[in-house]
Amino acid sequence: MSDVPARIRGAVHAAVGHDSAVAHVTGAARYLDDVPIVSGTLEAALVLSPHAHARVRRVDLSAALAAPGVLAAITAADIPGKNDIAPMRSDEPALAADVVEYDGQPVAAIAATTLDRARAAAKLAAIDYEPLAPVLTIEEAMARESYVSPPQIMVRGEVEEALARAPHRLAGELRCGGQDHFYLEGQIALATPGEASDMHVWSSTQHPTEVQRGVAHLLGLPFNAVTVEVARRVRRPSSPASPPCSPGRHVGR
Amino acid sequence: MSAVRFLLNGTPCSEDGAPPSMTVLDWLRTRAHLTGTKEGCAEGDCGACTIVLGRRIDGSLQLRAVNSCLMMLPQIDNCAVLTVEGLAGPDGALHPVQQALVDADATQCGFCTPGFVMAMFAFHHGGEPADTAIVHEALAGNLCRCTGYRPIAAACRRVAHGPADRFVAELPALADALSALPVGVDYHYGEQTFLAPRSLAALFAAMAQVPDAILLAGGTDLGLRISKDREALPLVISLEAVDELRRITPAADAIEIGGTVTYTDALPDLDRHFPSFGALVRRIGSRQIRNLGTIAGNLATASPIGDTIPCLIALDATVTLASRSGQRMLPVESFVTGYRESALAAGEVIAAIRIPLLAAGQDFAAYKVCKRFDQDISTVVAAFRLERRGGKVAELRAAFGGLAARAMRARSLEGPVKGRPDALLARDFTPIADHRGGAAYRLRAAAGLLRRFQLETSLAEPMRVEAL
Repeated sequence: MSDVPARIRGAVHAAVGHDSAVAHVTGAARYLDDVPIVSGTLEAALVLSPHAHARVRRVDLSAALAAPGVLAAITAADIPGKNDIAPMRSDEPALAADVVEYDGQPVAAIAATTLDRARAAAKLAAIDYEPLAPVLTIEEAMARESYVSPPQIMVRGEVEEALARAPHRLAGELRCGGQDHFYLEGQIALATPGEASDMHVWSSTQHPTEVQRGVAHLLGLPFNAVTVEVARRVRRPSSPASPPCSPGRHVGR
Repeated sequence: MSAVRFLLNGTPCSEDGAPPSMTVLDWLRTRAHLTGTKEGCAEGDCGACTIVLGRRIDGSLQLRAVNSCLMMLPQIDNCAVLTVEGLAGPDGALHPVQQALVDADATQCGFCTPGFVMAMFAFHHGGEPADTAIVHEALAGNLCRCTGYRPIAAACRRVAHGPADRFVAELPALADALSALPVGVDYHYGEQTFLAPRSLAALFAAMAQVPDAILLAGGTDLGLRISKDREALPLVISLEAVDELRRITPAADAIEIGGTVTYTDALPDLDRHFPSFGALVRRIGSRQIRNLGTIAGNLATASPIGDTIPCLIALDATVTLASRSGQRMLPVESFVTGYRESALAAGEVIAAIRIPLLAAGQDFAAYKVCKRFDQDISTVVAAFRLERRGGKVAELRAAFGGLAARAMRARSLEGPVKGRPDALLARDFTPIADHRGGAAYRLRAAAGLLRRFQLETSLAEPMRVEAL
């Protein structure tokens, strides 16, 4: 007993400061939006769906493409590889093709010499939507069997028999809402085409591999042609990198 | 050549090559390459863009935290701008506010931190005590998504009772450097013009010269057109330098609040004469918003959820409108005519708002119902002024916001009435339903607020629900 040390070795139960704390409080910590960008870098603006659910009938980007400073205006049709950036299944396009499934879903991307020009051009995109009824409650989704994943039922043994024999039977329902970290830093990515078909991406993501896979899918590239770097990690995997890559490949900048 | 001139972390700066509609945040990040100040929301809610402005008021430097994302570049003319990069000492020693955040483990991803640093710096220089309610109010304009706020509030309590930093000694020099700058001039760039007249006469001349110009006071509402909608406003006339509009004039039976008096500057008088109004104002936006926004601006915007308007109506306030040809006065109730519409005529500016003081036998209370306690657009605002004589109700003025296209009195409640308040209110109001509240909810909430007022004014010991 006399050999028990007074303190636990290592950092357990010890106050250890955040190794970036001083950088945080002085403003020296560099997030992706703080990194100086090379002259000639294009800025992209997204055209977002104003409908929660709609068919995309017609997309006309000619006015956007003709706007000052615009070098590229792309839709799903311009994606050279697979229009899929889903982390798990194959159900998340980078740009919506025939149907939009949430308010704010990107339908097109405009690349221009400045952000204000890209945003101004994005407003000129002419898109015809046919609004559809969105499914907004669990009850509606169940009635239509509209599932993200097949329902999971956990059983073992002869359930009906056992329930029938049981002296007491309890039935109930539990609901819990979704939550999102909603981190304060905005989603941002910087894509630089390299030699041949290489793409170098800086992304405000927690999951560089997911971004690498998404970009490789979109551009139809092998994974080793895509390098993803993180500038100060954020909390949640996301794919902000995808929109800059296609216009970048298109334009060579 | 016109230029915007100011001090940036103590160093004199001049900018003549940026459009007036560039926000101060964008200027800091892209022209000064000071990226410590962040863009979190670009609408004055999250506080990641917080900077501190020093202005010379009566000879000394007054420090105020503001949202740089909402400000047009020329609004910092003749100001001492302090950003997070300017707080640490020349030897790199952390400012007490920065050290307190480090010591309290108050950062995780760190993105909100510079905004909190500047809000806390302003708090530190305010010399307020380490009272939890005050700390929460001081930081209401800053959001953090990682820490849960506890360590940040703890750090803020540690830097209360200030100031005790190198700026105490440096502020007089800063004030002197500021007075060496030429006072506000008109600023032109490209197709955009920003005029800064320094007197009412100059203001009227400017308004006659550019009748299409937008009048700018604090810009906390107008700023959204620039920060969110990215409008390049071509013609703006700032009221900031018109000294006549900045005054608060007490009279024997009333108080007059000038057209450019900010919420913050009006608070001492509101607290003294109408404490309930003061308490409600403390829930408008945040300190960053209240340091720029004006009561007259709130009135002129005439939004249905402009929180001061029902209060001014219930208090029977009048507004003085001044123009080249003279002045006229209107009851606030008649000034607001519709959804974002007022009786302000071309060539006119709100010179002052006159609020009669409460007479003996009069009680006033204001209430705000919204989803968040701070920094939220109201669902319902209620304001009541009750006068009793000989133990009976002599007069009730009841005004509501959030129930119609404009703030209005509820006439159905003001006479001798029978019936349920929410049914009576339904005679005066047909509220909309939106994500802030359904129509029936709004009426019930409004009726509930009347009941609350009844209870609070009928108790032997005055009491507010918030005190429970």
